[in-house]
Amino acid sequence: MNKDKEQLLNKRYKAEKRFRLYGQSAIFMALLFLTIFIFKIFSTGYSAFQKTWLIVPVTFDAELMMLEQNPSKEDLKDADYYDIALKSMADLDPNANEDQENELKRMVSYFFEREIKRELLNDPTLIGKTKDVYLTASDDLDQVFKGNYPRDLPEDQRRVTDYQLKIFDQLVELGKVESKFNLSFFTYPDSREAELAGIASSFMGSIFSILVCLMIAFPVAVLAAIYLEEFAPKNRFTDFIEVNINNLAAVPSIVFEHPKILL
Amino acid sequence: MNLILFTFIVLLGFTSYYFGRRKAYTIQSTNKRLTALPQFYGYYLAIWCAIPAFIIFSLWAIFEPTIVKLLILSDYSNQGYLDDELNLIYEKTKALSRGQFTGEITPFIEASAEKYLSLRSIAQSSKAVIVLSIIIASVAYAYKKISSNSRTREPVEKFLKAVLFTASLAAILTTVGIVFSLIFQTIDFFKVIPLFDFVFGTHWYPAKAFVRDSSEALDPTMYSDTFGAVPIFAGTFFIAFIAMCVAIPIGLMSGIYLAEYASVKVRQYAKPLIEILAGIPTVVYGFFAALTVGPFLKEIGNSMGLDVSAESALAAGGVMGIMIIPFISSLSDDVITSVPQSLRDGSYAMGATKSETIKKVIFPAALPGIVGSILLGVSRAIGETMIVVMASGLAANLTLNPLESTSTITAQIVVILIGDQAFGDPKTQAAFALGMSLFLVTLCLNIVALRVVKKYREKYE
Repeated sequence: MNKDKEQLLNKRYKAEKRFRLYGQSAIFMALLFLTIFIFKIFSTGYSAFQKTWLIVPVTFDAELMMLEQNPSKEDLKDADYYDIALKSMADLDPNANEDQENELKRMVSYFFEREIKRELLNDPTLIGKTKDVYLTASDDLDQVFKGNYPRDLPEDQRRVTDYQLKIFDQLVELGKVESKFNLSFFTYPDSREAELAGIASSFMGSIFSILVCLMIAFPVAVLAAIYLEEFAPKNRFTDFIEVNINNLAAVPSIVFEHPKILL
Repeated sequence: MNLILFTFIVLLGFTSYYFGRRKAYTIQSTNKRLTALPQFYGYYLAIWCAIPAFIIFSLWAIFEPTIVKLLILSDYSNQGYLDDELNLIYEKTKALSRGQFTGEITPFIEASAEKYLSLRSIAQSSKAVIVLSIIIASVAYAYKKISSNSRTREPVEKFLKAVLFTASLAAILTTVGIVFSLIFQTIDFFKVIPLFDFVFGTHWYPAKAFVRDSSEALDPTMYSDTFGAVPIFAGTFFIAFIAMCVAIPIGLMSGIYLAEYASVKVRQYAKPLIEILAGIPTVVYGFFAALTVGPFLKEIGNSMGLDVSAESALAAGGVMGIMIIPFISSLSDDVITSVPQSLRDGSYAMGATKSETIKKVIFPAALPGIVGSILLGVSRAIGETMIVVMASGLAANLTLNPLESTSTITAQIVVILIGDQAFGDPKTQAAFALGMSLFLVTLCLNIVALRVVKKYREKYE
């Protein structure tokens, strides 16, 4: 009899322990999900904060830029930079044929012309001289440099050609490829070109919609709360209001999109 | 113009406040007893300045455009134009008067635009005159009242109460607004598609019903068997079910553990950490589900010889479940901690262990609240959009296999509304019918859940 009791007690204690373990593992699971989640996002996303630049020598040839003698600031702004930009990319490989020159051009973003222009506007004395200019690498080469690009795929299955890889590797060996903090990620608007994409415009959009939202929600919500808590009589109508308020918080946000379309 | 007027009125309000208060002081100095604190005299005057201005501004905003439009279009009556054409003419006129018109400018429209501009300027100046004269009249009236030292506090408080009451009506107005914006399109939809086909049909291919030219006669055969909502309702509840399979055990057990077992320190850190899960934007979850969980499940499934779709209901539902964990754990934690200590003490006195107390005493006592929290979680899962859109496919697929892709009501609304759309087209209206059903389902769930939770709270308070 005594033994039975002891067994029962043991069983109950074991159940107690098991139950406690369930609770602990539930908390553990929830925190584990959170950790995996945050780890995954950061480990995948952090490399976007670095941007790859190619350092390319650019010769600011006044003739190619269609510039007269002693150009004014306005002239510099209107000058033609496309040709010197193209030429400096093509000069990376003196033996390049026409197709290869095209490929060379595609190693940098289509902003390269403007990056060269900015350099000259900062320092107009550069005319006729050669200077190393930082040009944004194309997004594919950016991934190559970060080691995320499947280089061993057959050439016809990837966007970076063997030729581009060859030149790129040469540049890397010469130390002409640099990875710097991706400031343009915060200052550029969104773009189809991954290397030029930034969050500036969408960030402003978010800020403005938050502002509008606050301007509407804050006063109305505080006033309504004061009324319901301090003044409202307890009756069916105020109950109805409260159910409505709680319901609004739980209505799927997509239902709110419909009126937006109608307006 | 409006801005100047508005600033002027605001300034006027402040000055009338100032004058009201000063009047109160002068009354006081004649040794008369004031009926309220001096600032109420100021408020009283300021309110008499603000209300008429507000009323006239809103009346003007409502009626001015319609009246101007009527006057402009009266030139075009008796010329046999259709309503749509008249609207077009009016829009052209407006665009031209703003200098934004790019089409061919006919003399008619040019004349109208000039008329429009002159009408607008007349309207603006008459508005300014009317607003200012009425404000002056009403402030003068209020000033007279103050001078005779009549009551000011009661009207001011009544006014404030009315403002507060209006604010609390906003929630109801929003609900009414949602219902109204959905209901007309929904009714139109059900005129074309029988309700029976919608509720019991098993094929959902809204793209099939897209008509490019809305003047084309609707061909009913085109719509038969395209708007059967069974697959998407099934998909919605199926994904919600998977989500709840993840969220209920983990959420409930962590709620119980946090409330009954955890030390103060663990609770202090674990609770906010778990609640972070609820604060992550759902689009980030969607990302995670589509790019990490989906391919991961597919790889595991393939290695076991199963055919797993990269966009599976399991990935979407599982991630959604993680998102819902904190809703359930926090709410059930609150509910369990509010069970009176006396119930626990009684159970311990009978020799029950902690887990027995929880299972046999606290859980039944807290059950209504827990059910309420679960229902809120379900309503959340049904209405979740981004995760499903990103991770669970967009083609309606009637299946009970969690490894295949399915679609939900919310995802279908997104699919329909971001594509090509035309009003009066059953495909677009279908989105409104879906929105309506989603609204009704979540409304019922929310009302039941909120009632249950509230009843439960009242029981122990």
